[in-house]
Amino acid sequence: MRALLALIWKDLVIEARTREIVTAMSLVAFLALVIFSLALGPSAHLVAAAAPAAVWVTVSFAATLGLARAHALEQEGQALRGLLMTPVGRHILYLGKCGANLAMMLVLQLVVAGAAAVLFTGAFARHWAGLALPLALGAVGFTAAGTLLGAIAAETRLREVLLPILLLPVVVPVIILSLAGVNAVLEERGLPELLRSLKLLGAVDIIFVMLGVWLFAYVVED
Amino acid sequence: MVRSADVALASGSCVAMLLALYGAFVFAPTERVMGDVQRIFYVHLPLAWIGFVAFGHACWAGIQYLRTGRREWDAVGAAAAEIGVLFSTLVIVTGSLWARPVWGTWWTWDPQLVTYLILWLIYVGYLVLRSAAGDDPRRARFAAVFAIVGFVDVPLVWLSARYLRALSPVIFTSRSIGLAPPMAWALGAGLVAWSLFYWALFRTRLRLGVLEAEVAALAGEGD
Repeated sequence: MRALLALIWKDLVIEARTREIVTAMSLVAFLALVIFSLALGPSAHLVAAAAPAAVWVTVSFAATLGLARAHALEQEGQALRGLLMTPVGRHILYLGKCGANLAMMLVLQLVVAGAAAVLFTGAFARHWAGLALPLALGAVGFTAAGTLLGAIAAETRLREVLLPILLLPVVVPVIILSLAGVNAVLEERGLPELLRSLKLLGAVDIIFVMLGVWLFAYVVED
Repeated sequence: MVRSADVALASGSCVAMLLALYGAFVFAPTERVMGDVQRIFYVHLPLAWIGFVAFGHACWAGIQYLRTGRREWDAVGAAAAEIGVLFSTLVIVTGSLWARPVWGTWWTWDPQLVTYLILWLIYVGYLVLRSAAGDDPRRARFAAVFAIVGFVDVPLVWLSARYLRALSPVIFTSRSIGLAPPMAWALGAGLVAWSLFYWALFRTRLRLGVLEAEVAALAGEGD
């Protein structure tokens, strides 16, 4: 447990000192939202209806960029090799990387949801508490799969180009279910409707984390 | 090094394919509502099932590779996934050809269609991964891991895709076609023919994969 926290802490300290990944991700995401909102035109109704979709599309692509960068950092100076030599289980390494990636993705979602509240619809600000859960659970599944596949993509010739090709089709269930939850909150369809999608989303998250814990050792093995 | 078993398998699948074509075009009666276009189902459905089986085969090979570390399993996975992508491409094309006259649209977000499209995208990604992953043991490990993740993902995509359907009105209730006995026979013949064809293709592709690995090993020694 202490090793896990130390691993997460290490990544977060690096990020806090450089602020490289979160800044880049957030800027890309903000740009994407601005383009979305310009492309959708002046119709307030259309913009509000498209908001949840725009948020998730933006978050997925920006988070994919961030994940690719986070794994590229492990490659530089052979940081990952150093970690592999420590007496820490591979699954702890995976969970540590996952935790740090999750923290960054949550920050990204906060930025995007905030920007969407301004640019798209005030509903995002009004329902912030209800939206937090489907978005955060979506982030868990996304980073669980993204950390495993990011480690693969970083070791190939195509690197950051390969990651979206591998990751985005795999996380389609996460995106659909999280969006179902977001829509249930925004349209005020009540708690049972929200819980129905969240239960399934939680199950998907658990499956992705278990896959990562099981398979990460094979990915980083030399 | 073509073995007699392969020759027998290839000829067997040829004969079965001819029988299946006869079944689809002559033996099976014309469907009353959809007309002749329904006959595409005798190709589409077996392809869809066997395409799915092929991806399961690739996933199974991935598990075996990670367990044993034997190179042959990597070749099995590559062969199965490649043919799976070919078959599922045909599934999507034949499905669209059928949907256009019957549903009036090339494409709709029905859960089965979504699942097949995502499955196809995942294994196209698998092929890109293989071509980008560099040297042999690492490529095999990555491919095995991704084949497993991709296949485990399929039921999740299907479950979540039903949410899309719950949100938008259901216009089509697909695949609720009662089959007359001759139609069932034609479908069965198609299933046998495409299964044999898959197995014949698979064995050929597997042999090619093993030869490729040998050539690569020999070239490595020459350096």
